[in-house]
Amino acid sequence: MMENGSALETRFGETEIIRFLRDAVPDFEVCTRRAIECILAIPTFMPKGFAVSRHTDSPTTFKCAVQAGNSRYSAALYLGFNQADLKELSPEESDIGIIMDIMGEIANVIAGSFLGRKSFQAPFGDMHLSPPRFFQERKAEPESWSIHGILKANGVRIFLDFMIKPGQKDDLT
Amino acid sequence: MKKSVVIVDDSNFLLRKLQDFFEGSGEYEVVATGSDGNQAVALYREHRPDLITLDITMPEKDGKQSLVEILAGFPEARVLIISAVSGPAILECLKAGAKGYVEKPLRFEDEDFRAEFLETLGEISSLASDNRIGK
Repeated sequence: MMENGSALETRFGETEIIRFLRDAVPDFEVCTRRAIECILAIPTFMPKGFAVSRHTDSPTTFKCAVQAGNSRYSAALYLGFNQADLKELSPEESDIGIIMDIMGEIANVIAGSFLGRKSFQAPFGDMHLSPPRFFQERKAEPESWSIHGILKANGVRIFLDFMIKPGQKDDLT
Repeated sequence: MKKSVVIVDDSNFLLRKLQDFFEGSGEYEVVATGSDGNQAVALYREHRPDLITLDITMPEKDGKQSLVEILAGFPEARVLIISAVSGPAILECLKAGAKGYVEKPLRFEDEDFRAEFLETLGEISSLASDNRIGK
């Protein structure tokens, strides 16, 4: 795993991470909307701007996560959605398994594009990404901070959440 | 004669999209698909296709490891990386011998994207042919 960039010589603490997350909100919005709109081929709407706060779980029945990390930081991207809404996201697709697969692909594309940006790589370095994983309950991370927001596509609410914290990658789900 | 392709990606949705794209082009025949890095190496060995596409983030063995293993056994292999991962990983794959890289999301609804994708595939085919002749 390659880790480059002089900023990596010092590890960000909570204050720097919060500052980074606040500055990264517009980039995160662009990455999330672009991924969903390209993969589902439908427009997205943002009922409320994305925000940075302490990490909380989304009120959804299903979550999809892509975890990322290197020797200094661990991060995770979560998509939250209600299983009952899934068919609305892709009405022409009758196979729920394929729609779940699409959600995994969306998470993969958001994580890949957001973590590949120079503005992310400069302070945090290159991170190894996990394949998407699905689950119903998420491990609480009350000490961590995240960018979170909601996008609507075909009337369905998709909860998005990106969290990063110091320390080696561990199981964040 | 159609060129043979093996597609490897852990997303069934994308496997289907890529298969439709390749076969719809009229120039390629998809001979096999796989969903992890171990299958990629095995399928390449079995089919020796004209082209293999690899995702980077996959279970069992990632695309970079599969690329290295395939090229170790078959230096003439034409490998196209199709992945959402960007940054240094792209350069690492190209340095390791991938012939090209296409970044996800794949916008198959966009005519310009489809044309560019086909152009990239054509360039990879000609590059690989040159390599084979040279060797």
